Amino acid sequence: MPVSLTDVLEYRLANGLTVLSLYEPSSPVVTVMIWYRVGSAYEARGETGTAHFIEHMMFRGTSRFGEGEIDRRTSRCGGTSNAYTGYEFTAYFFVFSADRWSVALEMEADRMQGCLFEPEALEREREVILEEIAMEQDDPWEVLHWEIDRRVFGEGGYGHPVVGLAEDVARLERSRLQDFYRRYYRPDRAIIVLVGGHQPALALEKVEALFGGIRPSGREGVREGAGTVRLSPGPVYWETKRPGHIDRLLLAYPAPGLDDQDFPSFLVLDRLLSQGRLSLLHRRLLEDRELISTFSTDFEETKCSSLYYLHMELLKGIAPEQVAQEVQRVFEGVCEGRFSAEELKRARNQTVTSLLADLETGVDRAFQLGLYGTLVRWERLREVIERVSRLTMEDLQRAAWRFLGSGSKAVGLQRART
Amino acid sequence: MKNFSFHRSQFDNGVVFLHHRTSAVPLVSVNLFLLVGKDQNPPDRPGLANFVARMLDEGTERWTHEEFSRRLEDMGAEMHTFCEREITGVCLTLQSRFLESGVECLAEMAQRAIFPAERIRRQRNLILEHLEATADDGELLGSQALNSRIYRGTSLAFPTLGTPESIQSVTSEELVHFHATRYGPKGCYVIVVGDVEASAAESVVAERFAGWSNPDQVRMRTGPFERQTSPERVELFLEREQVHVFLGHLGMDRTHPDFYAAQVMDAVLGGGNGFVSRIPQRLRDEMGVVYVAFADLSDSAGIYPGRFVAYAGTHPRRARLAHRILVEEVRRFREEGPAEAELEIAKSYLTGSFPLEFQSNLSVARLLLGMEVFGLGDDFPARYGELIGEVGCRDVRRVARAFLDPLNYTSVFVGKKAE
Repeated sequence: MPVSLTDVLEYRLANGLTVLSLYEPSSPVVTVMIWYRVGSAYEARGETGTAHFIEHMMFRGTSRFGEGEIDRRTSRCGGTSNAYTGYEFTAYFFVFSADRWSVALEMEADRMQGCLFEPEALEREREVILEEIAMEQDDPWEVLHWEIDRRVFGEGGYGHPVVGLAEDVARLERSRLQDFYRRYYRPDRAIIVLVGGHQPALALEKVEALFGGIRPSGREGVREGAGTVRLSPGPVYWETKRPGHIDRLLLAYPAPGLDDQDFPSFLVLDRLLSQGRLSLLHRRLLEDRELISTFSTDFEETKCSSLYYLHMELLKGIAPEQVAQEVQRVFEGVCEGRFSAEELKRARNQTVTSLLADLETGVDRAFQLGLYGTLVRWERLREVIERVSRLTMEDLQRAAWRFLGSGSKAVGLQRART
Repeated sequence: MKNFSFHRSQFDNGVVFLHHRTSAVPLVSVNLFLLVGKDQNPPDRPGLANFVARMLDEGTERWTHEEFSRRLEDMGAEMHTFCEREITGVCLTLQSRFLESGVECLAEMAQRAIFPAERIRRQRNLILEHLEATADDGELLGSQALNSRIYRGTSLAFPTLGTPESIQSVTSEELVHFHATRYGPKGCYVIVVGDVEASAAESVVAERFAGWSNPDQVRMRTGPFERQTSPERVELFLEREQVHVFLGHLGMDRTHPDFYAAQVMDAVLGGGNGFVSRIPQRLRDEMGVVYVAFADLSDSAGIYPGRFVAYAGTHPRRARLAHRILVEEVRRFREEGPAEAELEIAKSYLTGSFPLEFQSNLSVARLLLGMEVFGLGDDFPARYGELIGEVGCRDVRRVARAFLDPLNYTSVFVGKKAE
């Protein structure tokens, strides 16, 4: 357990704004993040891309900070900034030297309610976002993900890409963006995370002074985004051809949400299957059978059940059915407990290293606290880290049965068209 | 970064040991860096250095590839091996208690790799597949096309992965010979950053590396590099949504006295935070025609001259426009230089964000490597603010005139035909 996580302090302002503070006296910088409990899973049909569009517009100016001023001010103060949108969160971060970090709070307090959505700037940003979507469409794996997600989750929830569908983004109206913004950008749906060399008491005073007067604006129209995995009856299958040289196979299985009791087991299970040359899938697919050239897995950290993805680039002449069958056999083996105590210990060690690496820098720690704080509760992060080292073979077997042994899966195949 | 401290020692055989202590998490980053990049490839053997790097954990005099994996993976280590233009690196992230085993693994790879025939066969197949996969990556193809013109006639002109012809025909004798003659204690840096004491790390590294000798070690120098004297244009067809537009030519090396002025120039012209600099501001914020656009001279500066590159990814109907704007902005910058206000913002950004380079163990290791290889001095972190602070408009104009050429450059378009 990293010592620093035991020092996290949590405050709540009267208007519902949560503040998480991790004071690290020797740090010369402060990471300031603000997380809003809203993302693409909160969007309705025909309005995909709204949350992400707002994230872009948040840099386009408020009545106090004109267009481009947030970036200029950040640079002038020697800081960096960026933002991310996910299924269930929109997060903004600044990193500044510890002697001037509070400038970030001023900008965040202002744009929590003051984003202008100036029409001309909005049209230019729409073009920028359409270019971003085009860039993602050029990524062969993104395209496979989009198609599988749409089929598994249906419309709404996790079923569309975070950046939105081009046809929706092309016609999103300003009034719709403003409505969405007013509904979700409010103190009671936000968490401020401070990590680094700030003085906690002074920081809290500053937060109170800048954000304390912002009122929550009612709950009308708020919907809590959620995904529903629809993987049965029968597997989901999608096949396409794409100009290129490599056949790509994407397999997707159910995966637990962050708060699921089996989430820690699933983290270790993933390592047992995929981390390193000795992992079960690597050994079977690359070493023993020589079926594929590259292989990786991932899954989104979400509130609700999501998907566990296996990405594989197939060697020439290899049938995707054969690869899928081999994966199935490996999964069946894990469900039946065919792995050793040594393999379990290795996977647990790998998971610990990875969880610690996710907390290495101040930005990393702020990100993890904000992510867990927004999706479930930040203490869950500590629980997960503590739980991983104690997991047994039975724990992994149970998780394997639940998520990989149910027969539910989706298959996406992209054949090369040269 | 006034308070940054680190430990340095050099063993009698030339191996340099560097250490910096961090304690946020009980992890350590253990890195082996060797001055063996694709620059060491014989002219007719592109991809050889990378092939050798990928074979390092495929079997050693003491361990089979399986035993090697067992040692690494039982510790829960994460390993990343790479071969760049000038450097081969093996970077391990470990729980601190496994430091000794991690260093032992690095020593095995560097000093006792044996290149078993069966593992060569597998790696060859995988590299050939990866070469095919890169033919689908428009941005990478564009960057490689630029290299093939900028570094024409040198080892740097070829992709790091090599070419299919070269990879198909490389022999095990060539792999063994390359390892036997390029890998050695000279130009070897073992850098440990993380939650371990310097003295403990030094004794572990000394035990495994201080006795390494290789009388056959040689280091080749590729070149010469010449600035192009006329414009060139490359168009590669790829059926994709976006066109990748590049404009580039030969850049500067890291020890050039104007390097810091080049960093300031980059922050004004095409880098920095957000979209403050000219090229992203114009193409993205003002015109809304790109998601990604940048220009950069200093980032790729190394032992050899890097590249000046300006880039925009955009719709085919805007590709010519984006290219024209890139050329215009480069020309304008060369003629006018920066405004005082732009210069001040750029300098504040560079000095203010410098401490961020000390946040992760691996980024500190890379910084220490740069300080050592380029002789920046032990006080470089403390002096950085001063080095940037001294840069004036006149310095940036001088760099722009010397290193930006809006006439003699290579243009690369990758994607559908620009409309």
